[in-house]
Amino acid sequence: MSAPRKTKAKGAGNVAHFKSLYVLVGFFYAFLYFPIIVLVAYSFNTGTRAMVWKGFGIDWYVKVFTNGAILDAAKNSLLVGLIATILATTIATAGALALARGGAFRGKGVSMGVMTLPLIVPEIVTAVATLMFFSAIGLNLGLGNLIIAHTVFCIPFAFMPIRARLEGMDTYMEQAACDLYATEWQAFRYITLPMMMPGIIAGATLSFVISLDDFIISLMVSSAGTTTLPVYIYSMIRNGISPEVNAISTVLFGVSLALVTIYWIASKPRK
Amino acid sequence: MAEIAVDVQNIVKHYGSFVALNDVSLSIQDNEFFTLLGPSGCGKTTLLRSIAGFEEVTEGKIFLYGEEIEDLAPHQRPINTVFQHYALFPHMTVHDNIAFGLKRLGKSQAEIDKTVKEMLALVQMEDFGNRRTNNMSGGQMQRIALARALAPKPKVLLLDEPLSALDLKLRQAMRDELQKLQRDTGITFIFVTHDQDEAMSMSDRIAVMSNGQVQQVGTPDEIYNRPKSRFVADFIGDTNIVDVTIEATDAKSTLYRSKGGVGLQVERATDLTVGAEISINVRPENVVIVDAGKGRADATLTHKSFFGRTSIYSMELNDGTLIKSRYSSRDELGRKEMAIGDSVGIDFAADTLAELTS
Repeated sequence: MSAPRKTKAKGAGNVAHFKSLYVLVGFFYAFLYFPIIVLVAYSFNTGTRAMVWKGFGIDWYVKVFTNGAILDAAKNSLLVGLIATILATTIATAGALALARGGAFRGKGVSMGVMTLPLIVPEIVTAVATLMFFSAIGLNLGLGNLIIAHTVFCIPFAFMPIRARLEGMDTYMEQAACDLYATEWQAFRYITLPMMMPGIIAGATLSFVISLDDFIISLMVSSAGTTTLPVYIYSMIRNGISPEVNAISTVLFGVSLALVTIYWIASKPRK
Repeated sequence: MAEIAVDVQNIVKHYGSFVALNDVSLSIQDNEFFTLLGPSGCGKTTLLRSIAGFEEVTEGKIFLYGEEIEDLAPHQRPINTVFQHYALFPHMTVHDNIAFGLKRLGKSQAEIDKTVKEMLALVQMEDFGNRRTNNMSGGQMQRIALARALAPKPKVLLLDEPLSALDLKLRQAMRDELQKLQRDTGITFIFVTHDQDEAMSMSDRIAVMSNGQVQQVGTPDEIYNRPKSRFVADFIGDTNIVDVTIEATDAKSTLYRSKGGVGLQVERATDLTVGAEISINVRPENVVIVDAGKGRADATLTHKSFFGRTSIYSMELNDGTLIKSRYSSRDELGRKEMAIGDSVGIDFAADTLAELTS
């Protein structure tokens, strides 16, 4: 018998043939997810030392949910996230409609750029600038300061999926509605808005996750009494890593994961 | 004379410096299947969209059953459109799609449900009311789009190349259905297409358009057998066009002379005067091949193409003009075989000739 023939000669260009790359992939996933797995696992540890396994239990979750300071921080995070999401999504929807359905107008390209620029500006720069701006104009609204700052940086995140959705919708739908006796407002209300809804949901979800996870800007802008969850977790770590941090981080991770899943489902193109 | 459904008067439409419609006038009659036919860019879709209200005309007037409508918004015109790509609302069921126009008109729920049911029956889609439109075939979406546009009982139905996205078999079946639908509903249909077969097989009358102008309006028979211009003759089907000068004419016959000097005597009077330079048109199926010296002119057979149902013979007149003759395979039975290079004569019935003045 001759040597075994290569049966998949047709698959030239298929990177799956480079077997050694699998090792790289393994490393990639290990570095990405191993720390998170460890964190989640140790959040169920009953011991008082963060990294010494004693036994399985939800003691630390009970502690987290009875800790007034953590609950206050979580409440702040949710409130800021919710209001900032509503404001940012509304503004982003209006912006996306103007750019996709507003015809040609002067400064259209610039508007698009200005809308998405915050995505590439280093967050620390935005954070410092926001802090200086607020103190310069003497703005002191407590949570209001945080809400304004969060709304601003959430807009581009809300804007992108909404715009992508609108780009894929041709105006024939609205024309068909007007042809069937709908006024322009009715065409918007019954056709445009429902059709762009998956984009709006995706944008809102993304905004909420970004707001919930934000640390740098929140650290700069928050003051006593307006601490958000990530800022509070950071302050806890400075006093040494407690298993409580593992538990609250796991909760935050779970919430984000759920929201990103919603985003992913909502932004999937319709068949 | 039947009532006029849509009266288009001297419509002009500019897009910047481009003239899409150049002084178009048309009268479309009540209960007529009327087709706007022409190559892409001829202005047929612009004209349709002007009637629907999606384009604002630069000049001119449009009347719908006597009422002036060119300044009304689309939703104020009792006209519905079947769009080229259907434009069915993907987030609604079939029922809600069809009910959309009725709801906007403020019909009662009971009436809406009744009409939707009738419309689904009309297009033979009774069981599809609760389905969504995303996974339907092209033919099914086409029917839903028709039902949706017909449900509000518009005074005129506009159809913007609705068959172009379907495959050949389905397209042919839908032609018959559209024609039947028009007869059953009694609604005036204005149909836009670039496909001459579609136009010929369905329409009561056709307007052939090119370069933003109407070239000719007539029944399919008139358009095909009595084209008035070179464009119309050439656009519809195969044809033979010869540039000629009228050399002599009297009450009973006319003598045409080609540029190359071939004379054609035809037993028919003409309205044109001696010396007029025109073109004459004879369809290949009307050209008969006879023995040399026995026809209206002599020619040499240069090519034969066999297509199964028909054969096309190409011949050259003595001045080099190419003439094509089409024979159905049935007519060829028992005819003597001809070889390339044979001398033949060509003949045609006098009334199959059309004079093209432009």
